Amino acid sequence: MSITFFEPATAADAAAMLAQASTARTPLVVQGQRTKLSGRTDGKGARGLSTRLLTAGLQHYAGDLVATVPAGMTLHAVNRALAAERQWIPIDPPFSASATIGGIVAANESGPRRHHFGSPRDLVIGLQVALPNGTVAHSGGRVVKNVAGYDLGRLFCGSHGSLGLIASVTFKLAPMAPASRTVLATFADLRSAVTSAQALARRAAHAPTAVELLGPGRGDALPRVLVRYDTTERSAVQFALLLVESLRGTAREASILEGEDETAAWAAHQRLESAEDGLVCQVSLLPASCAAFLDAATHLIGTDALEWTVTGRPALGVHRLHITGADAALGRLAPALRQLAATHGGHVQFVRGTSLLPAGTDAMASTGTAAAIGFAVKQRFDPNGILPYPWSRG
Amino acid sequence: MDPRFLQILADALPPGSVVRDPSELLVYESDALVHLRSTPGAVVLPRSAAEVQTTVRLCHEHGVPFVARGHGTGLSGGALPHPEGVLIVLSRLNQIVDVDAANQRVTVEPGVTNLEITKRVAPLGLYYAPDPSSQSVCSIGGNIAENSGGAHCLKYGFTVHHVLGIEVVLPNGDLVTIGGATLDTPGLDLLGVFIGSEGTLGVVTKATLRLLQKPDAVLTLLAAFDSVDQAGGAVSAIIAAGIIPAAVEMMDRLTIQAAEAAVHPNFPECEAVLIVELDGPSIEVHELFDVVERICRDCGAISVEIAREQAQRDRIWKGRKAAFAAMGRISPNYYVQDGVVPRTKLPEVLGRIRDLSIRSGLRIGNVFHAGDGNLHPLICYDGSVPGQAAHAETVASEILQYCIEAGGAITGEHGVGADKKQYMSAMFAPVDLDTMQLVRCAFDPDNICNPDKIFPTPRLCGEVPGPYRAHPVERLGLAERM
Repeated sequence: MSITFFEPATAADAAAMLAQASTARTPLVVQGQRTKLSGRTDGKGARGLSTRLLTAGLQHYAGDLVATVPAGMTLHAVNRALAAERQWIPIDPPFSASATIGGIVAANESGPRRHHFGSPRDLVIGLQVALPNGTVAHSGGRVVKNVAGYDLGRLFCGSHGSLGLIASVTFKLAPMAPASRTVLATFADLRSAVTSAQALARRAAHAPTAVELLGPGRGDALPRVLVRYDTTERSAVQFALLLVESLRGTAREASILEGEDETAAWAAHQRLESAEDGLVCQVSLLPASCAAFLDAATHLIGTDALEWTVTGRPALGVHRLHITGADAALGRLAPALRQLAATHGGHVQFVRGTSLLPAGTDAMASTGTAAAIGFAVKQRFDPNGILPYPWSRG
Repeated sequence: MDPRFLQILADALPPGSVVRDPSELLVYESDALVHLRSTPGAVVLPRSAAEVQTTVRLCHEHGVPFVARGHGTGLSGGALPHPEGVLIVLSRLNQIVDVDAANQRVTVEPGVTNLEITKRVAPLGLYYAPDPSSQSVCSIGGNIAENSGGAHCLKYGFTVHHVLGIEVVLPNGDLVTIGGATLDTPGLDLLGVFIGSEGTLGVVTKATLRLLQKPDAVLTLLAAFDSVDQAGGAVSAIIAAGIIPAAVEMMDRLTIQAAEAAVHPNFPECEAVLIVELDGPSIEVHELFDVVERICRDCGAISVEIAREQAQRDRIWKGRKAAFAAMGRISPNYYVQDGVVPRTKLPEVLGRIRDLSIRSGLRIGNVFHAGDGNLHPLICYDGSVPGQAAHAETVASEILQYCIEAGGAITGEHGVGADKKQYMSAMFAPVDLDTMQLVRCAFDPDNICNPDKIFPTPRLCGEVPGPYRAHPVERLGLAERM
């Protein structure tokens, strides 16, 4: 069946389309720029419900550090508009230039600066959603502090389009820092890069906004750690100098990046995080288990002549693995990686290359004892099951 | 309450777990919102998650409502017992189960007090960030139910930002884990919606919390102003300068007077004081603190006291934290309101409150978290004057209306509970409330878990929203709408 797109221009239109589809039991997949969906196999054959036209009505309450943003706008476009008041939505996820607000929130995607600012669920303070029952509902509001009623905003963060269409999102913003510096340090091996990154993140004498790992599994290039400071010029320079000094003895090299060099280093990092080929997975672990997991993963991946890169936030325990090579080998690797993460108390979610997964390996990890209650919530929002639900049903 | 059910409950639990004596039940008839009272049918004092599960399972099987209660410090009647139900008091589940310093996590039972956690982990250089005023007595279970904040939530967020996982007994008696020890646990963010659900979705029996590293430096200042508007202007200018303080608190003349009478913090004689606290790396904090001090002076501060020593900082915070209780020194009774306005609307709303005070003839003190627009007007009245308590309540209600009109919220930290459910319709459209009910019905289709809280009109699960239609249960004469 060829995919037909619905393109509502308002939240009310979206709700009407959802209701119509629900009545007819027509499967729908909510989509923005498809930066997440191209890696997904669930919802295949469903009709698209696009947020492409939901781009009007950005409201910036600069004095309150708050903005209400239509879901179809790209993060890039929103942050360009907010920059007029030197504010931004402090999220730097993969595909930042093309990914829409709706998609980023629906996938709860973040990037290196999650280290300091958190993920969308930490920043969303209000939401407007169109639901399969044909209604448009709001939750939260435009004030940061608010405990009135259930927090549906968080429920929709990371819901992957399973409950309804996110039409607009209200964010708590951050001021843009006047200056930044990045320290780029190289390490002899992945383990020392990870443990050093975690140790430096614990120091109270500085306040990095990103402590980012970049580790190749093979080749000559050494594992790197990028430490970013977004603050005043004076503090950024002092933090960077102090860090370089403190890395003597543990890092092979450490240098301070600024200006174009700094911008280029982070742009290159984001390109790595936005890889679309091969197998890409997100791994969540306890921070103290990361080094052992990555050691074991290096061994596991190496046995099948695969190439790989790891990026991520060792201090938070979240990493992104990008692995390339023969499809069959990637298919074999996927369940083994999940098993490996499980033995280290973590879990793996596959975001690209899900068509390579063998039968019995889902893109999403098990939701454990919460599976049944999670699906019960899904059924209340979408009783006819027209929207994909990527987790087990309990 | 059906004595047969009570016997079944008592038989299923260890001796001494069930309180039935009417005189003993009186202790539990309210939380800290003492004007709302209701004697529970029975109280259960479980010692384990299994005993909570047994209790909830029996309630589920027999259709008996239940309400979970921590240490009873809530200010919205969220733990108000159900007269025909079981009150599950979690104070005996009070163990810190595990401290994982390497991963900066702690696992606790719900009856552990907030401050106990920080006390335990302080030797490791760690602390638990949410710090509600009642932190020395309030329980973590209650904090999770209310999504508690505190003076430092401007920078550090609320309970929801610091809880990673919970073990919960669902209203059907199932014991499940929501979230976990790692970030990004798979599935819908049930944790995000559970936190702040005011005990209506289940009973927490264990929680894994994130700990933070103690900051390198903390600097606090106390600035005095000739007007509340000037102090508000300083807050806006600090935020506009791109500085996010750890805390920004404001007190007006009346609350300053009360605090002076009670704990003598030696605050200056003025119309408003601002407490601004910055924390973080010493290098950055000292640089930004100079900016904050300059802004306060530029905005008309008549004095600025800088607390560089812990003792000085403690004195300033003592004045702020005593503000509520101190009102008792200058007024026989007072009503504490909790509302939120966008920060930029503070001057306008405070002006309306001033006018209201004149018009109503009741003194209104203001002490609030100025950084995030969370107001706590204290409405003074004399309960011995006939009608004045009701008058104060009307005044408090009008202030909430101002908050809603300004684009704010009816509660920033105390919760809706039983106290404010009638205002939910002023803040949310019926469809918004119906959407919240989708969640409640998924967790608690029988409406037995802390019923009659948060929502203004109870709706039976499965009922289609819209114009009134008799529910099948009503048609069969099994239930009626009150």
